[in-house]
Amino acid sequence: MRGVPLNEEGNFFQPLWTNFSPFAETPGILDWYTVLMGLLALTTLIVHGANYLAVKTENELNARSRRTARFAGAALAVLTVLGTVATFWVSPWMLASFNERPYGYVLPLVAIAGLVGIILFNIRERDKAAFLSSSAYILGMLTSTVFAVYPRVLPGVDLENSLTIANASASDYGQAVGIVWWTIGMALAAIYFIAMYRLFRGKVRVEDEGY
Amino acid sequence: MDTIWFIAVALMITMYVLLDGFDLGAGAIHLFVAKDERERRAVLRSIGPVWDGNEVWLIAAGGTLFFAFPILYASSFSGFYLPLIIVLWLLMIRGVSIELRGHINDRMWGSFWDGMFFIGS
Repeated sequence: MRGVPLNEEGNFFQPLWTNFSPFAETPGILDWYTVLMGLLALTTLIVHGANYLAVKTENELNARSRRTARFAGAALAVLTVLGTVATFWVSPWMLASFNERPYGYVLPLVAIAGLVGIILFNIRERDKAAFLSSSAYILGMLTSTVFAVYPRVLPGVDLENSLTIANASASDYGQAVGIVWWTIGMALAAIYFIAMYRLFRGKVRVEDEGY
Repeated sequence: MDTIWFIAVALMITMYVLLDGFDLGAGAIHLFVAKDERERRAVLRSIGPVWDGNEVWLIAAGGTLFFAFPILYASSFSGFYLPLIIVLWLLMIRGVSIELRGHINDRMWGSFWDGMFFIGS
């Protein structure tokens, strides 16, 4: 989202960091923006994991997971605001994407609803709803990002050199064949996952026998 | 067609984050949330049957990316080589730590792999 230093052929190399500024001509992999995004991602996963553990465990584990989710949820709200502001500051063209296609605004709304849900359901001690809320948050955040980035897929520091879905894609024929196989594969995967989660639903108990 | 695949890849990455996200999150907090051996085993049992399948979504997303947008795959995986390798090694450490933890009945062995699980997550 911040952009990588793509040359005309579409290749780039980044040192681990340069001067930590995302506005430099040659940004490194780490700068304060990407580190902020990393923190946001880590906090998101902590909230999500804590909610999952709360659903799956009981008694003390459940209580501690809920506490973790509460603190991490508060941190998440702060980081979300910071992250959004930072993203639109570093990459103003992403904000322009939303203005060009206003129907996209529903996606950040999903994320906000998820965020509200995380905090609300945690207070009300409804674990499954909290887990669904953190899922909605992740869904909303990721789809908003992807929506804002479209049609570029790998933005360049110099926007003209960005990879887009047009210049990075495989042939039309290949993609058409792929859709058929992809659908079959997705159907199989869906059946497997639904069966798996059904099979193992319910709480996990703290017991003495081994795993 | 391009747009359809853009959405498909985005969807798969999202599925990965949703599913493996909670495994990683559980791993990141398990040292703080689970205080004794039995509780740690309970945390591991809660993600136990599903984490491997969840991680497969990452593989599938990568493969789909390769299929649909090969130039993007080539450019980004080459340019981001260093962080990618770091991520891959951490993922491997996480997987190995979950598996090997139960193999020997020694407390230090178990604690070491708990630590590795945390770092990997």
